[in-house]
Parts: sequence; C-alpha cells; structure tokens
Amino acid sequence: MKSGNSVQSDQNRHKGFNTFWLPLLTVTVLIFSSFLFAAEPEFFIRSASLEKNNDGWQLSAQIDYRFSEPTIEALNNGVPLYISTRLKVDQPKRWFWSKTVLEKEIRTRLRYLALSKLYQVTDLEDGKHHNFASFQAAIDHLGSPKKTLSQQEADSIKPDSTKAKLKTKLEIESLPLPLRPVAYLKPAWHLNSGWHTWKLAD
Amino acid sequence: MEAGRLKRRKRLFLPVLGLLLFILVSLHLMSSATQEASELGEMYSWLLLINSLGSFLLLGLVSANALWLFRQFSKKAIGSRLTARIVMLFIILSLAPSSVVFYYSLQFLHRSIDSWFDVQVDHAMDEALQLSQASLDERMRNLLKQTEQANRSLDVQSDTLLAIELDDLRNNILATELTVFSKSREIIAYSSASPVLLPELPNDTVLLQLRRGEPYVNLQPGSSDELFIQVVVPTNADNSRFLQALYPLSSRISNLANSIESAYVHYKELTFLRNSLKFTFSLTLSLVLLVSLLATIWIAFLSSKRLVKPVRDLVRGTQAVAEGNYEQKIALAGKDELGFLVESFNDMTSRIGQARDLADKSQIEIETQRNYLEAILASLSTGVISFDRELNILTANRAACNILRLDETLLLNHTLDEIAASSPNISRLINTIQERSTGSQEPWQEECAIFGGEGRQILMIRGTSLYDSSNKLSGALVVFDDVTTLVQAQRDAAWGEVAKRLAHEIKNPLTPIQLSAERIQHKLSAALDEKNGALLKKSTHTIVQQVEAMKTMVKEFSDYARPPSLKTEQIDLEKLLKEIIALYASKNISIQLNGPIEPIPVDPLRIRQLFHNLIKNSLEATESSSSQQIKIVLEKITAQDRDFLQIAVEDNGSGLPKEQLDTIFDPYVTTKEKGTGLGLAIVKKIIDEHGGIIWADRDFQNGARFVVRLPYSQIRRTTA
Repeated sequence: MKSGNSVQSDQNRHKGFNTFWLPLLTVTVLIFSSFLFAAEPEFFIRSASLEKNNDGWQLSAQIDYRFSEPTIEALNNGVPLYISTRLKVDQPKRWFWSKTVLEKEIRTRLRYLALSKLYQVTDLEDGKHHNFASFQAAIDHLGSPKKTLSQQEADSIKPDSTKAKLKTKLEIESLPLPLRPVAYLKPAWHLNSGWHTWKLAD
Repeated sequence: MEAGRLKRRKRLFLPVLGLLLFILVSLHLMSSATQEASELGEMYSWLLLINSLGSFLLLGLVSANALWLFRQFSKKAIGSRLTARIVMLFIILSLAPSSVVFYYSLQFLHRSIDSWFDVQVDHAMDEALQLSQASLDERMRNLLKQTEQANRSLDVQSDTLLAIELDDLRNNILATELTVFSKSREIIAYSSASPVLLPELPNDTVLLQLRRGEPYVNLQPGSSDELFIQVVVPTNADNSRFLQALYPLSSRISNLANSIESAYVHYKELTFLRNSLKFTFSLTLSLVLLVSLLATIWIAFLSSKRLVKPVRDLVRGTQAVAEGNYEQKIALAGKDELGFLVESFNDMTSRIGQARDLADKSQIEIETQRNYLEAILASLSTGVISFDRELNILTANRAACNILRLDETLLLNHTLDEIAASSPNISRLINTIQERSTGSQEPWQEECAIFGGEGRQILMIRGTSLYDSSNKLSGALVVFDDVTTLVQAQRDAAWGEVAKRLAHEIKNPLTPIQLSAERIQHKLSAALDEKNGALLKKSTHTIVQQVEAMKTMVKEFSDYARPPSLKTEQIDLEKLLKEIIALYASKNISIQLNGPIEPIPVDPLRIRQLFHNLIKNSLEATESSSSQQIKIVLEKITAQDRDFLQIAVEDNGSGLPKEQLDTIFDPYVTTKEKGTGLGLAIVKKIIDEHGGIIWADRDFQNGARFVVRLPYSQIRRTTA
C-alpha cells in the first residue's frame, strides 16, 4: 500500500508530465510529422524487375524523375544532386515475418557541366558517367537503371525469396551543407518515390 | 527534510549541468561543421536536430517554469513577486546585450558573406567561361570540319575493310577513337587508340539530331578529368550511318578548361548558396543565441527560486510567529547573509517561544496562586477590600459583601463616596476608611459600628497602605470582621456570669432572711400587744414579700444564666402562634402569612416563651394607644444561601427610643417602670440558642417592629 508521500509524489510526476513533457512531445511530433507528410513523392517507380539471366541477376526499372524547380535551379547552378536507389529482397519466415536477405544501394550523381553544357549522370558504384546535352535526356537515362548484381549479392538471393522492393530518393544529406537546412525545411527538396514492391518471378 | 532537499538538489544539479554541457558541445560542433568541410559536415543535420531538440527541451523547461510562476503570481503566493522581479531582471540583463550582439553579429555576418561576392568577379567568371567555351568552340568547329573531311574521304564499300580504313584515318586526323555506327546504334566498325571494350555511342537525343542530318559536336569529359571533343557526322545521305570521332584535348588545355569550369561551378554554386549560407550561419547564430538565452532564463528561474526560498520561508515564519506558532523552524539557507538572517530568525523565534513558555508557565502559576488566594479570600469569614490610590474599590471578597449586606456589583469599581451615597447604613465605615487611609503609612485598627436592616453591627477594621515595587503608594487594603456576635456573646457571657454570681450570692442569704423574719413573727407575735403585733406582722410580711420578689428575680437571673438545653421538634409555627394568640383573644393580634412556610425545628416551650415575651412587650407598648394593633408577619426568606423563617412582630405603640436601640436586648434595659428588664434579653437568648437573630427595625415608623429570623437548619451556638 502506498504511503501518503509516495501517492503525492506520483501525482506530482503525473502533473509534471502533463504540464511539461506532453506539450513538448506534441510540438516535436507535429514539427517532424510536417516533414514526413508535407512532401508528396515526385519520383515515381512505374515498374521494376529483378530477373536472372545469363549474366546473373539483373535489376531493371522504369522511374519517373520529376525534379522540382528549386532542385533544377540548384543543378543548373553547379550543385550536384545525388540519387539513392535502394533494393531489398525479402525471404519469408514463420508467422508472416520476413527476413531481408539482400539490401543494395545504388548511388547516382547528376550534375551540370557548365563548360560543355552537358548533364552528366555518374554511377558512383563503378564510376561510369554518361553525358547528356539536355536535362530531360539525363533524367531519362537516370530513370532506366539497369544493374547487374555481383556474385555475392546474387548468392544472397535464396530460391524461396519471394518479394523485392525498390525505393529512390534525392539525398539531402549529400547536398552542400548550407543548403541542407533549407532542403529540410522545404517540401520541394523532399523527393522520394516510396517503396515499390513486387513479387519475384519463380 | 533538509537532507532530502540537498539530495534532490544534487540529483538535479548534475543532469542540469550535463544537459547544458551537452547542448554547448553540440552547438560548438554544429558551428564548426558550418565553417569547415570536414566529417562534421556529415553530422550537421544530426547536430542541427540535437540542438533544435535541446532548444525545445530548454523552451519546455522555461515554459513550465513560467507557467509555474504565473500560477504562483495569480495566487499571490509568497515570494512570487520577488521571483518574478528577479527573473525579469535576469532576462533583461541577458536579453539586452545578447540582442545587440546578435543583431550586429548577424549584420556583420551577412555583410561578410555579401562581400565574398562581387559583380565584377561574377562577370569575370562568366567571361572566363565564355572565353574557354569560345576557344573550345573554335577548336570544335575545326575538328568538325576535319571530321567531315575525313568522313568524305571514307569510301569503303565493305564493312570489313572499314575497320582498317578507320585505323588509318584515325591516325591521320589524330583522333583517339573513330566509330561507325548505324542509326539503330549498331556499331559497324571502330578504331581506338586505347583498348576499350566497346565505344560509347551518342544518346538518343544526339541520335535524333543526327537523323535530321545535323552533325553533332561537343565536349566530352573523359573518365578521369581529361576532355575530348566528340564529333558525330552522318556518313551517308540517308543518315543511316554515322561517323563518331573523339579528339583529345591536350592535357594543358584540359587542365585549364577543367580549372576554369571548376572555379566557375564553384563560384556559381557559392552564389547560388549565398542566401542559404546566410540562412545557415544565421540559423547557427540564432540557435546559439536561443540556447544561451533559454539556458540563462532557466538558470534565472532556478537561481531566483533558490534566492527567494529563504525569503519566502522567512515570511512564512513571520506569519507563523504572528499567529503565535513559535515552534516553526526555517531550514538554513546556506552560509551567506540570508543564511545568517534565517539563523537569527530561528534563534529569535526559539527565544520568543521559550519566553512565551515561561510567560505561560508564570501565567499559570499566577492564575493558580490567584485562584488559591481567591479561594482563601472567598472562604474567609473576614471581609477583605482592596482599593486603588484614589480609594476606588478594586476587589471585595464574599465575606465583605456578606458582612456589609451589599451585592458585589454595588461595591466593585465604585468610589467610596458613591457607595456611601447608595448605602448610607455603612457611611460610618466608609468615613473611617477614608480618614484612616489618607496620609497614613502605618497599619491601623479601629472598631466601628454600622446599622443595617438587621440591627447594629460591630466591625473590627484593620487597614494598611499598599506600595508598588518602586515604593510608591499604589492603593490600600482593609480587612474587617463582624464582631457583633462576639461582642454580644462576651456581653452575654459577662451578664450570665454576673447573673450566676449574683443569683448565687443573693440567693443564699434570702432564705435565712425569710426564715428569720418568719421566726420573729412566730416568736414575738404572741408577746406583743395588738398594735406592735400588727406592726410586726406587717413588717415581717413585707420582709417575706420582698424576699420572695428577690427570689423571683434571682430565679430569673438563674434562668438567664443557665446554659441552653433545647429539645427541638419540627413545629408548624403558624399553628403555634395561633395557639399563643388564642390566649390573647381579646387583643387585636393578627397573623399575616407571606407565602407558604414549612415546619421549622425549634424547642416549642422556648419558642412559646419567646413569643409570649414579644407579645407581652408589644401589648405593654400599645396599652396607651387607642387602637391597639399587633401584627405578626410570617414569611420564608433566603439569605446568604440559607433558608430562614422570618417572624416580624409589629405594633402601633410608642415605638422604641433611639438611644436604647443599641442596647435594647441587654439585660435590665427597659422602658417600663415595672419589670425586670430581662424580657427581651431572654427573647434574644432563646433566639441565640436556636441560631437565629433578632433586631429592632429602626426604620419602622408608627410603633415598634421586632424581626426574628430562625434558621431551618440549625447551627448551634452556645453562650457562656
């Protein structure tokens, strides 16, 4: 049985929670939820596939990269944009749980070369870059990634793996430091496709 | 409780300090991240988040404290105003200079950033790039011509020989790579200076341009900072095949071009990020200011609470002392001036408490002593009256009121003159007190007689002056005893002794005298002649008669002197009186009953004698009156907490002479020519035997009134 003092201290703690921690938590959640829900995805994965062929597992996708005006302006002013595309392959487990057997990130850099007036798309994994005379050509190329998985990556895909998902987003953390706070605060910089899930073919 | 508070304070102090240090460190790291391109740059967002959360936390703490203070202020709690004042002072002291510094720092920051950018530099960068482009454009045009020329010189029918041709051509035109491909992006032949797996073909946009018959020429960055010029021209008229040539730029030109491009891009990026840079630096500065201010305000709240707490405790303690609670102790507030103040306060209240306890104890003792004295005074039979300097009565005990037959309210807080005016019967006493108390420093003693409704009272008065601690006259004290009974008893005893001795001395010779006279009569009557015989007989008869009379007188004396031997019974006195009155049927004697009376314990024989004597006395007094009226009034009264039966015998005779009123109940006091003068004395004696009192009402006009009071409960009194 609680003594009068401990009951009083419990009441004081609850009172303290209501007057201080609860409002603080509420405000924090509201602010951060604005980041979560403010930006609608401007990258859209129309289709994706992970198929086994003679060369191994190949990832192909069709992605619509719709950059916002501020991002294009930044690109044209020399700010390189980094795109991160993440692939996950799941293996089902008991009780509807699944285990991620493969997680791969493909990073791509898009930048404008002022001298040659070309848009360069660079695969940061292998260092290959492709140059395009127009922005549209560059993002078209960007939107049709074709990637062959390494042997190690291919081996991690088990025969009973059933599901794969793909997501692509603009890396705000790779932006120049002064631009990051602005990018976090403005929805135009929150370019994210969301997870696109599909079943792996047998 | 003090230990618990210290513990809580310690528990709070370390987390508070830890929080502030953590926020300070993260601010410093964030500030460093904005200034240098380092690993901190990668953590910048996290640092920004941490600092924002820290600011929110501090804001929450400050808000909670502000809310608390507001509530305290609204409730007008002790110390809330002082706390608010101190906090406001802290805020003003921290806000004012911080704001000024922040404003000017921000201005300085923005101007510094703006100073990095110059329109001339901007122009220079643009023009440098344009110069590079123009220079490269020139080269590109030349190489386009060269490629078109090379294309025209290509005249190979077989694709197999094309590769060899391309090789020769490549060497001639100094290209790094030559490729012939179809419009469907199929490589027909290629030649390359460095081994490549497959040459890279133009993209679809370029292909579109080529299909329209337009040649394409542009710079192509290589894999490692080198620059190439890519030229693609259609090889045939139907634009189904194309020749692509890659010409390297010299490393010097490549470097220069890359350098210019790099500088230009960097400058452009910086220009683009100008506002973002200002914003980021301003944000960092603002966060620093915000965190500093919030931390200062929070510390202001904590400090002011700490500072005000002893003051609040002191106020509470003062209120408690004002309400009479001297037990409250205030916890020590440290070793500073406030701590000293608190310690002094505790000391003071402790002493006040002790003094109060002592005073309470003394008060109780005084009360006890007072009650004791009052009890003693109340149970004293001696009257005690105290006066102030102006001889106003301060206290009078019950005995004083009883003796003077006055109510306490008539005595207390009245001057002697006022009492004399309201109760003239004690004027002699008052005069005596006034005379003896003024100017007399020595105790005095005097006997004084007062006359009340119950007759003469003899008081033995003793008085003394009272002095205060500085030996100044503060009042007077008078004690007096009613010695009436004592005096009367002494007188009765004296009379009784006289009567006894007289009776004894006189009685003895009477019988021989009577016998001798009878003997003379007997012996000589025969020897004398008739004349002498008659003389002898008359003389002896006279002697015998007088002896008899003297024997009667002596007997009465003996009776008066004899000690009482009462045989009391419960007697209905009204009935007894009626029986007595019946013996005086011819006389106008009436009985008046004022209220019901109860039987009273008396000796019936003695009472009869009493009433006989009184009635006889009244009859004798009214003998000469034309309308003889004697009234006997009976009533039950209560006096001095005792029940009495009061019998008043009133007559309309000549009344009592004033000069005899004091002594009318003494033996041998009479207004008649005949009589022994013992009648009223015997009446008084009988009444004394019954424990009652009798007095002659001196205020009764048109006759005489004797009032007898007999008690219902006997208190036996004996007289010597």
